Amino acid sequence: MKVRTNLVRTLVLAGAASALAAAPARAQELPAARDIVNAYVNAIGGAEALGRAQHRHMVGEVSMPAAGMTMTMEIWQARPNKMTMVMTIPSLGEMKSGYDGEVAWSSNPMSGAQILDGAELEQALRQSDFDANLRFEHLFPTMETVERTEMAGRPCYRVRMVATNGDEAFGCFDVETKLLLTMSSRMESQMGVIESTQEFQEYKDFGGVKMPSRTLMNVAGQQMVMTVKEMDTNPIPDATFALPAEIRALKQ
Amino acid sequence: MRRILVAGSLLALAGCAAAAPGNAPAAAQARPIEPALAEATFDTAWSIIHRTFWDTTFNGVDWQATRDELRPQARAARTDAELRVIIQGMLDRLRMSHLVVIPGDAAEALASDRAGPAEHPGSAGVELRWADDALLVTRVMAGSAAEAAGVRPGWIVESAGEMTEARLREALSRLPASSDPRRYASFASQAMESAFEGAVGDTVRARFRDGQDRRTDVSIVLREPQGRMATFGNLPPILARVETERVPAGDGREVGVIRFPIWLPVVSGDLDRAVDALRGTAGIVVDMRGNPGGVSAMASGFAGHFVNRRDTLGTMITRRDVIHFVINPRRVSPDARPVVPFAGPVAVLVDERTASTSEFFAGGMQALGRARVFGVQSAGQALPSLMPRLPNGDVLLHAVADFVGPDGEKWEGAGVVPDAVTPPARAALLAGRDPAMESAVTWIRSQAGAAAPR
Repeated sequence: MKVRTNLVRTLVLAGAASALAAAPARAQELPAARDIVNAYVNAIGGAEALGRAQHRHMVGEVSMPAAGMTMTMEIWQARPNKMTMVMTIPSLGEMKSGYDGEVAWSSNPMSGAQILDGAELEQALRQSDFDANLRFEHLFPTMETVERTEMAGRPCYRVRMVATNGDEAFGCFDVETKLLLTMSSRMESQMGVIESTQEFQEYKDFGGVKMPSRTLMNVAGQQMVMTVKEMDTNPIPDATFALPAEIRALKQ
Repeated sequence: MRRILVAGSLLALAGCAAAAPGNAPAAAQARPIEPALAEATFDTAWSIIHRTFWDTTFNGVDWQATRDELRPQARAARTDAELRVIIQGMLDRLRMSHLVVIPGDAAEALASDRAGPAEHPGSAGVELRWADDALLVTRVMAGSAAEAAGVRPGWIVESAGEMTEARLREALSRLPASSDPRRYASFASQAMESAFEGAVGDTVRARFRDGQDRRTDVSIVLREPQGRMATFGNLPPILARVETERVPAGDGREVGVIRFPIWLPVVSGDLDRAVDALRGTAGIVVDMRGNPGGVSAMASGFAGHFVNRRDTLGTMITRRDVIHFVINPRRVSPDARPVVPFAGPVAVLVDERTASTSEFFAGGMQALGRARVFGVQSAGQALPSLMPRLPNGDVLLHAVADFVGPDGEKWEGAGVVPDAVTPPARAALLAGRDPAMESAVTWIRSQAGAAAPR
C-alpha cells in the first residue's frame, strides 16, 4: 500500500508540476526539456498562478478494479513543505502519511507506524515540497528530451528526468496542448524498485491551475484510477500537519 | 460447499487462499447466458491470465492453443454454470493454486448449499480434520451450539444434515486422481464443516461416534458465530475474528495464544491488541491451523510485532516487479506507547488447511529463525493473487506472482514443513489434549533463558 500511497503523492504533484529547468537537449531537432517544461507550466496556468497559493487541499478517490476496492483520498499541503495525506479504505481504515517539516512518516492499520528514512524519506521530502513544481531543476538535476513519440493516441515529447537519488522518470508532453500526457517512473522503496506508469486525463481548471481530474495508473502491475473530486487553496490550520500520537511515540 | 467457496474466494491485494479442486463451478446455480456474453467472459478470463500470469511459459501449457480449443465451447455454453466449468477447466491446466472462477453473486452461490441468509449466518462452532480415514472433531468452540449439544473433540462425524460419509467419499472419488492428499483432507473437512453451517436457529441433525465408539445422534441448533462478518474488495462476506487466550506453560508462567480464521484488515487492530495483551507471557503461539490466507500485506505487518530489526518475510515476483514483503518492527502500541517487539519465543501451528498468506507468515518466520513451526505440512497454495470481475459478473481469482521466502524458499506445492510434526490424534483429543499446541507450549517452556531472537 505504501507504494500506492507514494505514487499517489507523486501523481498529485506531477499534475501540478512546473518550471522544470532542463539540461541542454542532446538532439538538435527536439525542443529542449526546459522549453517543454516551461510550455507545460504555461499550459496549466503559469508560474504566477502556481506560486500564488499558500495551501492546497485535494479530495479524490482511487479505485482498484482488480481488487474491487475504492478508497477516498484527502491531501492537505502548506508552504514550504508540509503535507498530510489520508486514504480511507473500506474495511481497512485510514492509511496516513505526512511530513510536518521535520519528520516524514506513515501509519496504517496493517503495518503500523513508521518514521521514514533512506530512499523513502528522500521521496517524501520531494513530494512534500509545496513548490516542487517551481523547483524542479533542484529535484531533477538531469533532464533531457529523448524523442518525439505518441502516447495515449497523442503526439508528445518524451523527457527523461533523474532525481538526485537516481530515481528516474519519463514524462511525455503533448506536442499541441503542452500538457503532460503520461509519466513512467522507477522508484526506490523498502519493497524494492517499483515501476509505475500514469496517464493523465481530463484536465480541469482548479482555481486557475489546470490539473488532470482523472489519472490511470499501473503500479507494480496493478491498475488503478484516481479521480480528483475537489481542490481548493483555502487556509489550512497548522494542527492538520501535526504528528499523530503514534509517530510522536516512535520519536521518544 | 459454502466454506469451500469462501476459501476459494479468499484473496487479496496480493495473496490469498485457494480452493479445493473443482469446487466453485459446480456449486453455483445455473442462469442462462447469451453466447456473446459467454464469449466475452471467456475471452476476458483468458486475456487476464495471458497478460498477468508471472510464468510466461504458462507452466508448459500452450495458452494460445488452449484458447482456440475452448473458446467455441464457451460460446456454446447455455448457462453461467456451464461456462464456469469451461473456464475453470482452462485454469486447471496451469496446475497452480489461486486460479478459480467464483460465481459473481456470492450470496446466491452460497445459498445454493443450504446456507442461511448472509445477514444471519449460523454455525455449530466445530472444526473438523480428516485423520486416519475419518473426520475428527478437532475443536469445539466455547459457548458454541455444538458445545451446548454435548459434542466433544475426538468424536468422529458420520453425517450432518444431508452430508453423509458415503456422499463425502463419493465426492472425494471425483477429485482428480493426481490430487495431493492434503487436498483430499482439506476438501473432506471443509465439505463436512459446511454441513454444520446455515442460518441462526436452524437445526442440524448429526451422527457421531463418541469416545466409546458408540453412534450418537445429536441435534444442534445453530447459533450466531463468534466474530463479525466482513468484506474486502470483491470478497464475499467472511467471518473475521481474533481469539486470544493464556494457557499454563507448566512452570508457573503462561503462554499466549492468538488464533484467527482469516487475514482481513478489519482485524488488524484486534491483532495489535492481542500481541500487546500478551507481552508478559513466556511465549506466544500463533495458531494458523485452518487459516486459508487473506490480505498478504498483513503478514509482514503482523510479523513486525515479533522482529526487532527491519527484515524481509518474503518476496513476490511478478512479470515486471520484484516486491519485498518488508517487516518493520512494531515499536508503538495500539494506545500509542513506545514498546519493543515481543522478544519471547514464538510458535506457529499449521495444518493442511493453512494456506497462502498464512504460509507466507509461517514459512517466513520459520526461515528467519524467529518461529518454530508445529503441526502438519501446510497446503502449499502460496501465490499472490488478484480478483477482478468478469463481464458476466463472476470473479476471477488469479495468481499474479510467484512468492519466495527470505532465503528463496518456495511454498507453492510444497507447503511449510513443520519443525515438529504433530498431527491431530483421536486419543489425545478425547483426553482433552491438543498435540500440536502441547508441543509448542513445551518448546516455549524449554526456551526460558535462551538468547534473544534477532
